[in-house]
Amino acid sequence: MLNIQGLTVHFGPFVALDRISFHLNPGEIFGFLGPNGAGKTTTLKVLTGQVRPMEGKVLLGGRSLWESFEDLKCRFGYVPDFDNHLEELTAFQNLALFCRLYRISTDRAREVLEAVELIGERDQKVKNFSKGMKKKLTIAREILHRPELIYLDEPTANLDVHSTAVIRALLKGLAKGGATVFCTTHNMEEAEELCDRIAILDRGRTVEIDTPEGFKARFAEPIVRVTVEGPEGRETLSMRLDEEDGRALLAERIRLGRIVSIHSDSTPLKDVFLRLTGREFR
Amino acid sequence: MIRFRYIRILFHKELLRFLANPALWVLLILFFSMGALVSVSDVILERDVFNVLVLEGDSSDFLAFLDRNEPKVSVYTPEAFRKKKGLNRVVLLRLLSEAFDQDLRAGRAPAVEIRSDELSRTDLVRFRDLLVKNTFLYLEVRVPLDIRLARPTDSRGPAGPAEVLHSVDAPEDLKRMIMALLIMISLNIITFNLLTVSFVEEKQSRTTLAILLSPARSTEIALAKGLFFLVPGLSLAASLTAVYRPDILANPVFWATMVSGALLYMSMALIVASFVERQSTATLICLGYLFFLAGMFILAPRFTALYPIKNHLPENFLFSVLSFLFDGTPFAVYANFFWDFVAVSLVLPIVAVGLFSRRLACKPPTKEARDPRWTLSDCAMILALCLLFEFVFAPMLYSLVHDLPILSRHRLSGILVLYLAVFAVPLVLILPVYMRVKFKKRFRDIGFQSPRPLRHLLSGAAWFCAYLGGLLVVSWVLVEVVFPGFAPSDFSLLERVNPQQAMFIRTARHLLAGLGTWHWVLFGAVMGVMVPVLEEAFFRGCLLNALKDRWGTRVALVGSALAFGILHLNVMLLPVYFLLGILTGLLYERTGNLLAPVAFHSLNNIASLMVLSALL
Repeated sequence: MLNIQGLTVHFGPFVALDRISFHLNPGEIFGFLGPNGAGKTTTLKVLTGQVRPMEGKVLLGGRSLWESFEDLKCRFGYVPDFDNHLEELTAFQNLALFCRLYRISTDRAREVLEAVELIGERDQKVKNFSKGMKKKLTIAREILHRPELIYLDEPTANLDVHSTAVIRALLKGLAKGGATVFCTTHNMEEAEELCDRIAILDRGRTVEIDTPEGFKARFAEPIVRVTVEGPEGRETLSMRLDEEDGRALLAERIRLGRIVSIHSDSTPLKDVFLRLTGREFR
Repeated sequence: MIRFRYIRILFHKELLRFLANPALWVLLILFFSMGALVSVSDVILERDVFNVLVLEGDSSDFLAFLDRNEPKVSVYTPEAFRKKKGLNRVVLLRLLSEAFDQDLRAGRAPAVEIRSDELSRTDLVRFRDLLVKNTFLYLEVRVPLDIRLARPTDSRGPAGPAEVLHSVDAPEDLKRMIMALLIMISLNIITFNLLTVSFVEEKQSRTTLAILLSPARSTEIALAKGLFFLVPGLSLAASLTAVYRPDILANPVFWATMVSGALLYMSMALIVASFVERQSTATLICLGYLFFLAGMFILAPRFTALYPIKNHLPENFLFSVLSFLFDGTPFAVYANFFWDFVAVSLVLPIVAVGLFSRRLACKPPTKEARDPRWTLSDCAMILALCLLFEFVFAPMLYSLVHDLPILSRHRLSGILVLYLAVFAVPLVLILPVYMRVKFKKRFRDIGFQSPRPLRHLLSGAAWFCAYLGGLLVVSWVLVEVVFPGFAPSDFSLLERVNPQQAMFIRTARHLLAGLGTWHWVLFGAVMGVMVPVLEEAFFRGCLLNALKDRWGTRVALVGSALAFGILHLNVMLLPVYFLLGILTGLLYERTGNLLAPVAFHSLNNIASLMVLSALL
């Protein structure tokens, strides 16, 4: 679907993106994770033609993005990390403008307003909207033309719990319908819940690309916690499965049959992230 | 390509925004009412005309005397004053003497107190002097401004003639000038200031980005907004004109001037909006421009160095044409001036829209140098830049430096070079820069690189020899069969067949007669190298390829040859230039390289230069 090869962006002497390469499969939700300043937004800006890269290739559906930008730009939607609506117009007027530009019926505007739960506010001026409502309207605008690929820059920032759930469900629905979703976030929980694959970006480089499960499997420590019923009441023991002693101990406990529960120690994605980037979230 | 569907949709968007924004309406109403009030009001010409209201005291002699002898003073009694509305520069007068008339007649100085809430201290002194110096030598005037006047020592007459501080022509002239200024400024405010701010506002709020990622293109965004602001701008200008001189509205020159002005302003707005990202910066630029404009209009009549700058401002053109329209100057007097203005205003939008869409276009990687793939819009852009150079920058430059001594010595050859290489001169600058900016390539990559340059040059020369042979046969037939008895020195035939060319040769003869060897060398270099290289680069390298991409080789050959012919601006020689264009185009198509057509073109130019020198 989207194939990025060796994308490099310099801002003066500062290297914002350093030869990043990855590809997106059709119908997947691809998470782009990274601390602030890692180059997430810059990547999206390059993909939407706003920032000039030094070098690199971007193929969208097999065609070079730069050479046929005018044809390709209708195939993606772009939800930026800011609001860009015509504030003095109503939500519906905003969407109706884009319906006309995309040559689709304004019924579709009602449809997407319903999908993001803004149908009740359709005739309110956008300048009276809250930040979260504006964000939902942006998402509505960018799925209006049923794009094959949607770029989202931190889609659920500023949204309440309910709206977040609505947006996540919407994105999952879109992916199920065959659209590819490319979303940057620094919400680990979101990445874990939403994304099929995750790229971790740090200081302009892609550090790792894997599925959330893959990440966890690779970085999880092979430790089980076993609670046993002993003579002095319950006690919890940790056993390392990568050591001979640990495995023998576990086998013995199982044989004795006094085990109350066994838990594997799953590493949260957050820890994986911190280990990979070697720094805290800023 | 520009798609009107998108312009219409975006125009509608502007309309919705306009309807939602009361500030614009207020501005329109303010400007219109100002103009309407100016056009219906009486004009007060001189600054020291005073309306005098006599508050206290009674003196029929005094008042009659004032009325009769002092044209700068109108005297009102309180009743008369109440009936008259809207009088300004009012001076209140108290006649302090009980028997004013008697004192006056007896030569005793009656006292008067003057006072005004509207006038400055200087104005009051001026009024006092008016009374004292001109008329009432024996009046003692007490001004409640701490000014005491000593009784004049010389009682025989005024100290000198009354000083006329401000002289203005007839009232109608003043009104004409003010109305022209108002119309010009209202067009400026709406189609430049508002448009610039609106462009940059949408750029800053990044709604432009959202629209750019929809099927609409930057060109359409630019045109929709520009055309939208044209409507209130032109409406305001037209309604101001309608209030003052409705008959002017029937004059097409008025509409052409207004539309040209608006187009020019739209281009300026687009150029500013191409580079400015923040609304506050745009506002500052617009405000600065207004101040600059005011400064130029006020200072240029007094400071000679500013005059050429003011003369080239679009406002100067607008103001002048409006003044000419209002005072009924015949069109023929300012026709040249007018057509220059229209030409610039038609060319500049192409450059501005091109610049705007290039700045907003998707940004491909820097390192990736693309093969030059010329489009028609590239060609239009280059052509527009050339014309802009011809019409605006070259004359401006010339008017700024034409007094330099070095220029006067070589002016003749300079004029001739410019005349002959009219199209190539701006291309020297434009084509290499365009190649660098758009394609990240050098000028020679336009099609001059060749594995076998000598072979290509020779094939061009060979084609020229064949062409020359054909030309000789045709001329032999013309001279011997069609026009028998023709002598080379006989100009009458050429006069009959091609008067324009005959005139050119006669002018050239006159100019060339005074030239030295070095000038001929310069001519050779310009005509033999510079002109062919640049003209071939544009007509064959860019235009032919752009046309070919769109409509195929045949159309491209004919189209580029036609453009080549038309741009030589010689109607009678059009078929010859067309033929040359076809031949060089074919040569380019055959060799795939620009060297061959350049060789052909160069030999052709040198040959015609030799013929020209032989005619001397």
